[in-house]
Order: sequence, then C-alpha cells, then structure tokens
Amino acid sequence: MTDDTDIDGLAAEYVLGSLSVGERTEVQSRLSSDTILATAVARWERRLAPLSHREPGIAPPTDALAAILARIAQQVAAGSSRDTIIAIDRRARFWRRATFAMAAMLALFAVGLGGLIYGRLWDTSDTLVAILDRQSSNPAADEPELAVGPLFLATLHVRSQSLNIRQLAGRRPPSGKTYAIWIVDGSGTDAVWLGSIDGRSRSLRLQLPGRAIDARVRRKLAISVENDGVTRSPTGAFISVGSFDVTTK
Amino acid sequence: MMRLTPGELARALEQAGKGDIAAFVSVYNATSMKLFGIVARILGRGPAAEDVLQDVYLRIWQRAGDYCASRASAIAWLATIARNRALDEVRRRKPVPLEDLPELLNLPDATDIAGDFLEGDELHRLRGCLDRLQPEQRALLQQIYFDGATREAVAAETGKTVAVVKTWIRRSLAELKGCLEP
Repeated sequence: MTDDTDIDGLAAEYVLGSLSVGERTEVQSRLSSDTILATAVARWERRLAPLSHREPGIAPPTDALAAILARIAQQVAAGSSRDTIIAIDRRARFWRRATFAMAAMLALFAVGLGGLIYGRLWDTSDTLVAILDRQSSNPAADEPELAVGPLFLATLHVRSQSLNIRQLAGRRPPSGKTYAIWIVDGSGTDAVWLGSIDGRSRSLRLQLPGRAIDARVRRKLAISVENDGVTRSPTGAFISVGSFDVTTK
Repeated sequence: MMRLTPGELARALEQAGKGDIAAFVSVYNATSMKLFGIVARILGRGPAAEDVLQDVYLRIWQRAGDYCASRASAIAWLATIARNRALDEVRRRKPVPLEDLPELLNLPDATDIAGDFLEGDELHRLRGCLDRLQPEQRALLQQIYFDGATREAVAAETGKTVAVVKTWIRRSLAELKGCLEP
C-alpha cells in the first residue's frame, strides 16, 4: 500500500495517468470506500476532461460494433452481468410472458435482447444494425434443436458496403447443414443467397454487391437451414428474419 | 460518425442506461471515433486497442445507468472510461520502445490540433492555465495525459530520478489547479 499522504496529488496523478499499475490498482480499490479520495478524483477528472476534446478521432474497425453487441448478448445469455440482465429485464416483459421451458431460460434473455432490436433501424449514416430473430410463427422454429434460437446480428457498414453477420445465440446448424443467409423482399418470394455460416464458425463477413445494397430498401435478411455448399434458392422455411427497415430515412 | 448534440448524447446515454440497445448504438456511432482515438494514442493502433475499445463500450453499456448529467458531460464521462481502461491496459503491458510502435508514430499529434473540436469555456480556461506553466511542465503533463507515459518513462527520458519526476508532476498539477481555481 502506498504511503502517499498527499491525497489530492495521488488523485491528480491517477487522473493524469502517471501512476504505476500497482498504484492505479490501489486507487481503484479505495475509490468505493474512501470518499475523500473519490471526491478528489472526481474533481480532477472534471478539471482535465476538456483535454479529451483535443484528442483527434480515429475510425475504429468496421466490425467493432458487431463484436461489442455480440459480447453484450453473450453476457446476457450467460447471465454474467447482473446490471445487464436487470436492464434487459426491465425492457423484456413481452419475453417474460412467453412460456419457454426452463431449459430455454438463457435464450429468453438473449431473445429479449433481440426483441429490443428486432425490426428497428439505427440510421447512423455509418452503420445499419438488425437482429435476425427467431420466427415464432414458423413451425420449423419449434423443432427442438432450434428452440433456443438462433439469433443473428447483422451489421451493414454503408460506406464500405460490408455486411457482417454473427450468430449471437442458439445452436450451430445440424451436421452437414449450414445457416444460409438471404436477402429477400417483403413477400419473401425473391430471395438472393448472400452466403452461409457453417458449423465451424459463428460469423460471416461479406462484401455486398451494389445491387443488393439498393435492394435492401423494404427488404429483409433471412436465415434458412440448407445443405452444405452453394445454394440457389431456399429449400426450407426461414428460421430467423430481420429487417433493415429504412422507411424512416 | 453520427453527430449528436451534447444534450442528445446525454439523453442517448441515459436511455442506454435503461437498457435501450438502440440508444447504445447511437452512443457508439456518435463517439467511437473519439474514444478509439483516445485508446489508440495510448496503446497504438492494433488488436490491443481494438480489444480495449470493445471493453470500453461493454463497460459503458453496464455502467450507463450510473451516468449523471449534472456531474459531467456525456463525452467527458465516456472519455474517462476510455482513458482509464487504456491506461490500465498499458500499465499491465511490458514497456515497448516507441520505435517498435510505428503505428503510434503515425497518429495525429493531439498537441498540434487546434480548432477542429468543440471549444468550450472549460477548455479555453484549461488551455490558458496550461499556457501559464513553464513549457517543460506543459510538455510533461501533455506527454503523460495523451501518450500514457509513466513517471519511470519520463525519468528514463530525462535522466532524472523517479522521485524528482514525481515532484515535477505534482508541482505542475498543483500550479494548474491553483490557476483553474484561484
């Protein structure tokens, strides 16, 4: 433990960033119980915060948001973040009403997260996000092996036209099968295959052709279970569907 | 980058604290460039900075409910989380010579940036007080704040002892405080 009696100096150096790892750890452990130190740290944070305005921005990787959302979903599904679960729980009354079996409780939270996002659009000019959620009206979704999902996150980076699809929850596709990703029109009759996620990975990144980007207006992304390999048209029902609903643009 | 006013950002952060994932995405899109800049300046561009950026937004999601608009601006609150996480990470790592981080050398120099960001009264006052410090004091504080330099690194660079550097830092910060709050 440091014998530093200059609390304000210690707080100032903590905020400035000059403390060693041991000193930083000690300050952090004291913050919850030492109100004098915590107050001093808060004051120094306020004093030096304007310096952050000087920091030039750097564009993060285009798939960073998808990775972050996936980690949030994983936390929710694993029940490792009490705060997250509480937050989700407040917004997930609809899902609490669902009569899932106890074995599907983890999925309840994950699907609850999807419910927050499903059908919504964040038109940020940079990134469009959609959750491909379980089709509850689809008989195929009631098959036991698909009872806990799957739930997919789709992130479309508009400028680079890159589409990242990541499975957030649910089982991997059955052996010899893949989750085929389709872009479809509102009626679901015109489906264009974009790619497939097999049992070895949970994500797929692809470059959308311009035609597909244009076609995203009023179109949806959908998932079907297909045999391994290139797929021309969906042979089964869509098990998960999500929309980049751009009507508010 | 989506632009939000400070008020819109604060509201989005508060909504995220209530579990609104759409608001969280808005916060991300409005601030990720700024926060990644902060993280990358301390850690250098690369996988470590990208991992830390994920950690930062995970913490933001978990702690957004603690945000209090009356205590700090949203961007200051977010930047503090980013800096602290990046500093924690860089302190845990083995020191790497600057020449081994070419990507760090290619980053824009924050100390040369002037005018392309929000110029608030607080920044204006802080700048004025920094300008009243001796040039070497100002450089010392900026080197630590922006690049995450430790006392030991500064001591090695200047040939002084760590104790002397600590005294320099605290004296400089005390003078800064005296100027900001006379």
